[in-house]
Amino acid sequence: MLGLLAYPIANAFDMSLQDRQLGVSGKYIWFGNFIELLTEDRRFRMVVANSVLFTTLSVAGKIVVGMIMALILNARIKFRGMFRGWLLFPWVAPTFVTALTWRWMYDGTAGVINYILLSLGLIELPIAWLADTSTAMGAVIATNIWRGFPFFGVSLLAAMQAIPADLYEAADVDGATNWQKFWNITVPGVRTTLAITTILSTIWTFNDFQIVFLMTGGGPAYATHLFATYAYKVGFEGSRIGYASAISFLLTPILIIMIMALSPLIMKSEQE
Amino acid sequence: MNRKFRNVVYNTRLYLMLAIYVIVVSFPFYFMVLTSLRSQKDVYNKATMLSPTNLILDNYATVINGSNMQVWLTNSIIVGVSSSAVALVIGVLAAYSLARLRFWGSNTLAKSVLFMYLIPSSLLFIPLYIIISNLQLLNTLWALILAYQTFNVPFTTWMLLGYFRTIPAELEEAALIDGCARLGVLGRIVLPLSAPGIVTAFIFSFTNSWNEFLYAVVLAQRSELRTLPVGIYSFQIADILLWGQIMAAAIIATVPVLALYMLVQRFVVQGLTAGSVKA
Repeated sequence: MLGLLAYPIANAFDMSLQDRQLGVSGKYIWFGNFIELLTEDRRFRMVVANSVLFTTLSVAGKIVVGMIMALILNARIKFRGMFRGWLLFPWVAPTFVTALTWRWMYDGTAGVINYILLSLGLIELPIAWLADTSTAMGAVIATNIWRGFPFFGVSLLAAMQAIPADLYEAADVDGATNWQKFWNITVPGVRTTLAITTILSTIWTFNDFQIVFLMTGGGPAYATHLFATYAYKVGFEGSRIGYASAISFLLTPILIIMIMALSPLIMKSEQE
Repeated sequence: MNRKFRNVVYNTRLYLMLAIYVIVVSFPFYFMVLTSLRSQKDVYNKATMLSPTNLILDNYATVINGSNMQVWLTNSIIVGVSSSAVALVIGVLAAYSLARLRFWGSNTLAKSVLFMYLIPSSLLFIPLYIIISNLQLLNTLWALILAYQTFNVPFTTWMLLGYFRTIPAELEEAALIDGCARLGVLGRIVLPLSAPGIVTAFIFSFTNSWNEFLYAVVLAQRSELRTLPVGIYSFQIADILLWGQIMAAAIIATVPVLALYMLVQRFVVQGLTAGSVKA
């Protein structure tokens, strides 16, 4: 089973050392691709900056929106099970469906988001959300948050429900405010779960392909290109498959750091 | 009185927040359905943008009869079912040996299954493309079935590992003493007890395969080999996206996933093992 994945990764590294083109066998240029990526390729620098921005803001957004969702569902509300199932919809719907639907909602001329904002008088002219370099990244991030927050919400809710109720009762006796209870009881209680979900989401978000590919194709002017979309463009639209391998191979250091951070947390959650 | 009033304020705020969540989650779906029921001209009509008027079913008919939709749907089902079935067989054997047999490194191996699941397709798609083209499998459905094992096998193994560990070893030891072989134990005791877990693992693998996009774009480029996600994306004439048809097709692609999800929700709750140990 290890071979199932070790072989392709070794293969990726091997290819990233070649100047191979699609359909043509290449020769070894050793670290030539990596040197070009890191020193000459301005677009790659944008890709790195985009990926960091996209991941940080998306994950931060998902944590906040997911945490509030969990707090609402953890309060005494009616039909909790039904609402939990309902709010999970963005997570269950196929990602390509989400990406295409939001692309349509963001449409610059007939999009419903512009329609609503214009009707409410919040904007005066329609905005070409996905075609404008200043709004495209934000629009893509918003979609990604919408898709991913239920994963945080449901995981955090499960962790919150495992917190013993007498902790809150004792805090009530001591006259603690809701805010104090949140920071001193709830947050410590969900800490491990929060850390695990954050790491998992960071890995998935950093490696995202579908949302950007289907919504903007990496544009406008490379403003939303991420590692995966850029590697695809270079490798399959531009046929420089060796160079593309080097791009996606540079994802491994981040992946290894994330997995190293995850490992002790998994052990901890199994003990709890 | 004061306390009662505070409770009312608290509850109002709570349900208001909940309402915002429900609206934000539901609106894109509502709009998707509306768009799918509109003609290409009405889709752009601002006067009726949000109201359910002028609805027609033409897009569904066009999508089902006038495109390759039926072929894509068949491809998605073939790839989803066979890649999940293969992954399930491998996953059952791998998870069972990791859960029960003690051998050198079995714990480390168990943990690394999860890490394998986390290796993203963005890292694997180029080497898989080369490997599959070396195997002469490019532009076949086999390519996808094979490629999807990279996430389905670690996933089913990891999920079943957790499940098998909850089955008390005493049950199996009793069977072993009575002269049942290891594989017999697996088939007669472990599998029936973990039926909900197996069904859940299968359904999750199926939906993961159903939704997969990157490998599908790279490995099966010819129209008659596309799966739904890639096929639906090609509903465009020149640069104009036919939103009514795209949304109709997107709904057709979403409904099975939603139905399966509702099915799994029930299975997850059942928890068969508790009963068997107590009785």
